Amino acid sequence: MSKGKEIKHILKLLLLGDGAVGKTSLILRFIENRFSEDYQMSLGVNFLTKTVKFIDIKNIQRTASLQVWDIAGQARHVSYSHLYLKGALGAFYVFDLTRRETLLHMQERWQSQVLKVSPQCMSILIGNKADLTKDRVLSASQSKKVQEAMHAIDYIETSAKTGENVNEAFQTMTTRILNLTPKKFL
Amino acid sequence: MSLEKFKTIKAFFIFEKETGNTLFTRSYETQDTTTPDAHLVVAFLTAMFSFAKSSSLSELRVVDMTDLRFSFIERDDLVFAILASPLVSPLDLQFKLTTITSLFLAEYGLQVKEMQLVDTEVFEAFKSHVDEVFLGETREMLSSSKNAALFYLKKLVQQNDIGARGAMIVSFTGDILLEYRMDQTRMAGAIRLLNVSTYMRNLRYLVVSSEATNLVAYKISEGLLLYVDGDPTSGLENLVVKVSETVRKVKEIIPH
Ligand SMILES: Nc1nc2c(ncn2[C@@H]2O[C@H](COP(=O)(O)OP(=O)(O)OP(=O)(O)O)[C@@H](O)[C@H]2O)c(=O)[nH]1
Ligand SMILES: [Mg+2]
Repeated sequence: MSKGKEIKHILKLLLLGDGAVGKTSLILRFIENRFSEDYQMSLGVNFLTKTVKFIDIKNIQRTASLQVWDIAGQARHVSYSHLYLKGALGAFYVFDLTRRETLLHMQERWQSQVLKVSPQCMSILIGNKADLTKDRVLSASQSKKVQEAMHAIDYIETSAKTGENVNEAFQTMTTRILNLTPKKFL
Repeated sequence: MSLEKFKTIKAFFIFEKETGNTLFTRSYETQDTTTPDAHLVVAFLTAMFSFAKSSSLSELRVVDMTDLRFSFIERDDLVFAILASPLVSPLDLQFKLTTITSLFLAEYGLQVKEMQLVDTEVFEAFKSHVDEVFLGETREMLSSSKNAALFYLKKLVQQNDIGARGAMIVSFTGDILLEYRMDQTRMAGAIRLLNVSTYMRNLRYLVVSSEATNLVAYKISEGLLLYVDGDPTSGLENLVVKVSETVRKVKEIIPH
């Protein structure tokens, strides 16, 4: 493998989970590096794109254009959801570490819908709002049980507010989908 | 009462903001004859945009006329516009329009940027997506659940002592899923109220009391609300209690 070689990829990723768990906030943190305390329910399904670059273990420069879809928590019963769920290569299932009920039905509520139309889609379970340590009601071991049941490749605790682990989650997803070992992110 | 007026989408357009070149149009047959000609609509909207050139239209806009509600959004120098009956919920239009816009840009965004001349043939396949979204439901409810829920709505309204005059079940976007004896004007008002709830986390219930109505909106389950129009001369508290009892029964028949 020669140095200086570059390969481009386009990946469709989804963020799903109940209302107000922080999906829109995670995307804004990742793509625009900002955060807002205000809550406004997402209406409809939106996507944003961001390019990540890294060098893999064989010294090939990889450019991945991530198409990140924000699936409104309220959109669980949309009759035409297959239109935007199809073709996804990765899905983040996001719950709120301070609200138990947001983790409970993740598999039946969200993952089953996605796997119906994108059966190869890779899953990562995300426990968001990790900065709210005092209000936290879910332990890592409880979350890991759900991760196992969902066959998710990872469980990551994030904070859209502080930015903790947000880039890491997207980097993990990207490199795992491409089945590459990253050497360095650019 | 027919729900037609609360549901009718008349046409959908995608055109270039600067030139007014139309990329995509779709019209639906409706009972009334107020669907204007596509060229007229695009001409009207482009004229409006040249007035408002400096202002950003990335947020959804709604323009109301007597017989029509225009709703549009701008993304990547394209305008996506819906023409609907003025009673269609603006939130439901927003949900559908945002979703269609995303689907279109994900599918054809790059192609459109590279296009020298508009070739509308390219977008032919998008028609079925547009139809599926517009004819679809933002909050699907099984018809068996609907039938059972209607039974409870009727029972609530037919109880004489609580002053419930009408009831309906709506999605969080204001799409009416079923209705029993609701007054049309108050229905339209109730739907407008939902705008408020999108700023709240986990709304449980909302009560509005005026000279014309005691309106109760009660969350049934994710994305579903029960609205009850109460006679303002009857007690509000009693109404809320009865509505919550009905909600409990409706919950039981809705699968999670
Ligand atoms: N403290 C803290 N608050 C957060 C975090 N992430 C999101 N929030 C807040 O939680 C609320 C909901 O966040 P959103 O990103 O809008 O939630 P969502 O999942 O997109 O919700 P829907 O659009 O309804 O599906 C907002 O008030 C955010 O400011 C976080 O990591 N920490
Ligand atoms: Mg959101």
